[in-house]
Amino acid sequence: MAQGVEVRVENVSKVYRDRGGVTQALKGVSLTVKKGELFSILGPSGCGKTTLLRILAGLLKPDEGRVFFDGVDVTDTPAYERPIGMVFQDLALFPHLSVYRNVSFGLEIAGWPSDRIERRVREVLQLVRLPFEEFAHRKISQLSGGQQQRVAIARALAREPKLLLLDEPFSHLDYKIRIELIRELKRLQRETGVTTIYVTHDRNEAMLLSDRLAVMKDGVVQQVGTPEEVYRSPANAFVASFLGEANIIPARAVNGVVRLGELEISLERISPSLSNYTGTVLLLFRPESISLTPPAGDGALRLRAQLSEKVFLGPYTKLYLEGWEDIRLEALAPTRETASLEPGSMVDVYVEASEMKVYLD
Amino acid sequence: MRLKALLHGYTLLLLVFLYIPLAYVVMQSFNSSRYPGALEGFTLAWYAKLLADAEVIRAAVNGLSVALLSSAISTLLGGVAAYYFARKHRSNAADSFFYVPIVLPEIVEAVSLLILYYYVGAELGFWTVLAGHTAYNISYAYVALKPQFLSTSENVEAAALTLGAKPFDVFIRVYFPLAVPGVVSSLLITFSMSFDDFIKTAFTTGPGFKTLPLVIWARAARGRATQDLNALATIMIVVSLVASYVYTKQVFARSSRG
Amino acid sequence: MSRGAPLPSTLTLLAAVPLAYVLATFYLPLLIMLAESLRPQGLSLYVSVLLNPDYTSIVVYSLVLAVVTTALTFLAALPAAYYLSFHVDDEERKSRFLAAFTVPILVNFLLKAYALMNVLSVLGLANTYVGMVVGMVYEYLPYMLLPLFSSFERVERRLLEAAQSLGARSHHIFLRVVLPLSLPGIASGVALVFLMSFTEFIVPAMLGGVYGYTMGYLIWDLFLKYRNWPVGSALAFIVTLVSLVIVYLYTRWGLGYEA
Repeated sequence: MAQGVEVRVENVSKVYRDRGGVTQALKGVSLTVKKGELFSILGPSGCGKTTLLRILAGLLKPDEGRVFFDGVDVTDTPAYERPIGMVFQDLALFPHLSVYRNVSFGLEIAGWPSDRIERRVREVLQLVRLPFEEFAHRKISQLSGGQQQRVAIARALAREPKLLLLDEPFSHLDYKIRIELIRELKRLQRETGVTTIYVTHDRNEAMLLSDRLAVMKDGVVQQVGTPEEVYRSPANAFVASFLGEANIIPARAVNGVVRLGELEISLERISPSLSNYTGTVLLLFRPESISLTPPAGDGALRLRAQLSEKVFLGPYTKLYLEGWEDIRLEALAPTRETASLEPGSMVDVYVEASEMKVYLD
Repeated sequence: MRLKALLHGYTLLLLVFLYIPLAYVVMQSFNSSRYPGALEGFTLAWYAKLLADAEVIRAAVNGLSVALLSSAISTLLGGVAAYYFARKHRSNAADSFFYVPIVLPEIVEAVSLLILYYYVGAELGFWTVLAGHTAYNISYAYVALKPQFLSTSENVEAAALTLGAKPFDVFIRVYFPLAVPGVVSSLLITFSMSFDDFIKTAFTTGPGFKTLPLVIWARAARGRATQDLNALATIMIVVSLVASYVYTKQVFARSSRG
Repeated sequence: MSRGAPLPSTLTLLAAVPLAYVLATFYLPLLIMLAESLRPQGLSLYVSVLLNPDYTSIVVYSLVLAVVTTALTFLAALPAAYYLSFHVDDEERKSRFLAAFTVPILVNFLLKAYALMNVLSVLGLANTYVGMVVGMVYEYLPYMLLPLFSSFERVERRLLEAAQSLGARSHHIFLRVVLPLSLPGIASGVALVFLMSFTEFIVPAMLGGVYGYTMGYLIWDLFLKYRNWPVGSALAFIVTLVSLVIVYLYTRWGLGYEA
């Protein structure tokens, strides 16, 4: 099976001009995706992720910056000369061709002999779990959404690409099918070793799939890292709230120290240059960081608040706490720990300092 | 449910109303009685008479040649325009530009063409008729082909590129095959429109150049139907119905393919 | 928004050909026709035409005929369109019915008028006003039925269910839900048929006998019989203006519905 390429993007910018004015879709984006990695680009719509993907595919040329595959500059190489496979958001399967002809399209163009083509089509359909005998000669319109998706992936993989690009391919599918296909994709990627770049706005997909991911906003890369890194140590408040629920509290720092209740947090932990900082900051901690039992040690914040609402979510229960510093906090705790709590009552909760992140406003 | 039965009956009646006159003409064309009326016997004599009628044959040939040329040229030109404007993302001006000729009453178009030809000093005949038909047909071709080009998603083209197809390959392997149903529809419509055309042809034709509709008009102007005219009408009706049937099947097949 | 590749310049050049052709053979002649109408006397020709009862009576006659035709065609098509859209559940049957109604469109007016002439003379209705109106309705029925049907199809069935859950009966639903929602299609059909029947020449000429002298016939005669091109052009230009106004109103009001 093909090995993947290393993809390096250097300082890529792209501007769109249309009737509405000028939009800067990408601003000086630089990234490296390792060989054989499953990499996601995560961000809200309009953040530039699809534009970046199309530049990587060779369907668009950047206004500034270069793109390298394994160290070779491919910025000016058109799409049909790049060793890529692409899966589009609306699938873009050829409606006039059967499943077989869709998958073999790239191979026919490359001039492969027909027996080799058939072998490969069989191989790749098996890879995406579509039985050849049953599906090869069907028309695209006769397939379900999930099946069409598999054909699109098979088509992209048929040419043994070194880079697989996917643009929110599963967004229009049912939840269950989506999860199934994501798992399949991950398995496929492991088996083939092809470098894969997956664009999505859904954080769960990104976290399920990726070896590493990049979070983008307004054409700028906010952070790159493993899902765990980005979740636990978000670079800024945007990344933090995009990757998961977060409690964000404005607070005041005086001489590099933030005081919250009885807790003191020193800003030196973020950066030595902030050791004397005075000004507003944002404190951030995740709902699951709120504990109902006092932790060992003394580096924890204790809050007393009123439990306004309790939402049962199965193994976990969400708690809404009000009254502390006029802020509504969200906590997530194992259900068995919350069983005895009644809405309306006052509760004591704790957050360890190590679970808190501080950002400059 | 009684309402439904009533409506059902009404709809069937309406259909019958639509087809009876056509069926009547067809029947009469085989009727051996001298004038249309009670059925006397089966005969093909009227058709034989038609085949011996030089004026009819010549008119048929004239009409065919204009229609064939006109449909080919207009489908080509209209198709190019449709392809071009389908890929532009704001084409309202172009759409209106091509839509107006369809909407404007034929007699206005016919009249204006006549005046144009007069002032340009053109000799009325085959070429003036062809030019007039083609003008109108380009609009029909445009309207028939544009939705076809629009529905081919841009990503299909992009997908082909990412699979290694050069732009020319993309056109041959993707765009063209997908456009075939639209092209066939366009050819059928424009052919029909041209072959059956009466008003524009009447105004822009010169001495000696007649088409079948003109012949029918001249002979029916007496206000009486005759059997050989019925035979001629039958042929034309059958041709139109067949073309129309093929076209309609295409349109419905395409829309059900989703 | 799409970010496709720019269009190659050869394509642009090619696309200019049909544009130029239509410009030269359709739009230009209209201007020339306007010029022709202004040639002898300028605008005063229009004034004299509009004040001339010989002409205006024919215009009014054609208008009345158009209104009658449009109304009758609408009434004739409505129940069928309604039945097809709301009471036929099987998609295949629906499209077969629709095809049956649409196929006659491609058979030209002259042939249909001729066929009808056969039948009407048997019924004794040849050369009568009634016969002519029957002929008009016959020709225009598919043009009214299609837009009506399409706009009925576009009415979300769920809205009907919602109305039923709120206590509405069939006639309520039709008047308060279906009809208002299908106004664009109705406007489309009505505008189309009105425009066509106002200037219709073939059907009145073949079926109307002495009752068949309409705008269309008048213009025909002015050009081919009386050779009064300026007046003919003036009337044709007035017809053009009326058509454009109707189309403009309809696209604004009817939301530019595309068949």
